[in-house]
Amino acid sequence: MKKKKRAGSPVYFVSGGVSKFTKARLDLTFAAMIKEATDQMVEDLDLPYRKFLEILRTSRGGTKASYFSDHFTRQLMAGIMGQDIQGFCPLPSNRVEGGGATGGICFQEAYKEIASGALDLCVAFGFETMSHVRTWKGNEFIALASDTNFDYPVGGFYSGYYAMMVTRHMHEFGTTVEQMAMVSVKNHRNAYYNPYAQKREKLTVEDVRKSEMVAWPLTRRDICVMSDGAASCLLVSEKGLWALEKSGAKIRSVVRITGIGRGTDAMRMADRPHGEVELLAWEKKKDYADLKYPGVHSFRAGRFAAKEAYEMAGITNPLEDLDFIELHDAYTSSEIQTYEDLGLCKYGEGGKFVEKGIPFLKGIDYGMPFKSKERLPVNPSGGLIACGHPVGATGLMQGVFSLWQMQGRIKAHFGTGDLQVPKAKRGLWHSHAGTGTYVTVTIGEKA
Amino acid sequence: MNEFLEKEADDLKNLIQGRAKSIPPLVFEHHYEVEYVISHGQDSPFFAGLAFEKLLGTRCVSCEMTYATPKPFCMKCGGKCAWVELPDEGKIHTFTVCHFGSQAFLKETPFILVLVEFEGCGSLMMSRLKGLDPSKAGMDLIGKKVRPAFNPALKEKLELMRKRKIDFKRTEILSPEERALIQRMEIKVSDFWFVPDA
Repeated sequence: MKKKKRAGSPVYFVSGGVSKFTKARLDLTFAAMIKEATDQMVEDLDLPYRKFLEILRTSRGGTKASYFSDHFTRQLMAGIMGQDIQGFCPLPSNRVEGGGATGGICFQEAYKEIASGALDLCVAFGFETMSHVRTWKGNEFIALASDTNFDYPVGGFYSGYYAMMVTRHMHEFGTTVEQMAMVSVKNHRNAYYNPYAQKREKLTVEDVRKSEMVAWPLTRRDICVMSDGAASCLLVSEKGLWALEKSGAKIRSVVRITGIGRGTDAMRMADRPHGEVELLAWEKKKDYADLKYPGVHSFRAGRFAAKEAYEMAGITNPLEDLDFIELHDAYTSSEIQTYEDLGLCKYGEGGKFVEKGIPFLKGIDYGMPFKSKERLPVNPSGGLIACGHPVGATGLMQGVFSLWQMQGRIKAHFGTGDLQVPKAKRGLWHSHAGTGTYVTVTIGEKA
Repeated sequence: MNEFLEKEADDLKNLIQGRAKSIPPLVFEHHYEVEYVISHGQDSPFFAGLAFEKLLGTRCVSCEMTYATPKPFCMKCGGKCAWVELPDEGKIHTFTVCHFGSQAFLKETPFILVLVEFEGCGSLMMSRLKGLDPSKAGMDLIGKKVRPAFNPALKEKLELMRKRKIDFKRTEILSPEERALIQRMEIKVSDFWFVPDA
């Protein structure tokens, strides 16, 4: 594999923690919930918390706070409350925000602190407390993350936007609602074995289709739920790793971050261009001779992010080179669209990709037959659809689950190894903001 | 009295020290209301256009890319955009039927949302589709011709202004009184929608 040289020191992802995502976390305030996730991250290093703080303070430690909505929290400057409750003051910190991709962006900003040499240890912590408002008020808050002068006032809201996107995908490529439902079956069934997940259900395609219609063709079970939750990730430099080891931390398998990529697209779907496909290294212009791109059926930001990350990590065949993917499946439809952006299949073939069974895990009974034996597990954790989507924590949660996969520690954390991808060496996690406005792709490799 | 206070203090001590763990999380409600005053800024001509039952888009003066939803600057080349009238008729690019929505719109469900394409435009326009039973909406809607319809209340507002002798076609700059009147028209994007073209 030919890697594109990038400046910067190596960055290692050494530990992570997740609070159980749940509808409403009344027993803890948002700040204490963050502390809970960080506690787990520190315990996994076998370090007393006090010792961990000492290392941060003496070895150029710092933090990044990840949360999406001040409306939900009803608290401005929530980041500093997360910082102080964890004993991180006076270390440097700042808040990161980018809609649904907030967590993924936060992880990459922490990466940059280490790669640039500004810090040797960086804690990326994130949370969201969506239970503070009732569900449809929550939908309204999220809808405020679309153009409030042009899109929101006509009754626009996110499930409606994604529904319009997939309706066009269906028209353009013949994608079916059953193919979308298969994604829901997969992710809910995976989550059945993940104690951190919010919805652990054994469903059939029929269950998904019969469930209440939200915005045609998306039913309740095509859509992720709102959650309370927090997650923390620890990224370090060589020096930081050494400081941890010297202090007696138990370093389990270390994951090196080998690729990061990020892309953007216009806030309004209406403004998305109808131009040429952003080609991956192995694609040809003639593959997409008649495709108007990205229109509203594809996420140009996702493709751009994947292209950057693949070039940096030297990935030329994701199906071969990757062992698993955790991607942002706020909607079953967006999981299918994302297969295509990530180049797991050609644009237009996402529906068939799931139908063949490629993104399913081996050894789990999904109650349906598959045409292909080829596998690249996508969302082995259950994804957002089943784990929940406490926005600022989500992208970090995907990082933590990915780390545990590559450390071979799924059984240690989940109590059962059903979701462990055997010999997982290289993984990709993907974070995505409303209708594909900000998308991040991060690739990690067992060092 | 002192004895009473001492007893109370004891209970309090018990409550805090002995039983703190068994206290359930205490919840409270906080009602919060806010009124924003927001300007449409450089997009104002689009909204004023709705009062004249015209959809205005913008066109890049250097590369001619045309935006069905107005953009002040071209996203392709960075050029400045000028106002243009959109065609009277467009085609449905995609749609959905919303059975739920933001709290503010729940009472209006089910409703149809559409993205509409216009001849000669490189971008789309989002709006409601009215005049069609949402239960009849299916994939065959894509490609169907639609035309804009406008909130009749806008006409009344316009009439009011005409009575006050505001002539939009006049080329000289509006007087301060006229400007103040227009600013209070309170036109929103929801003051127009699409209907099937018969």
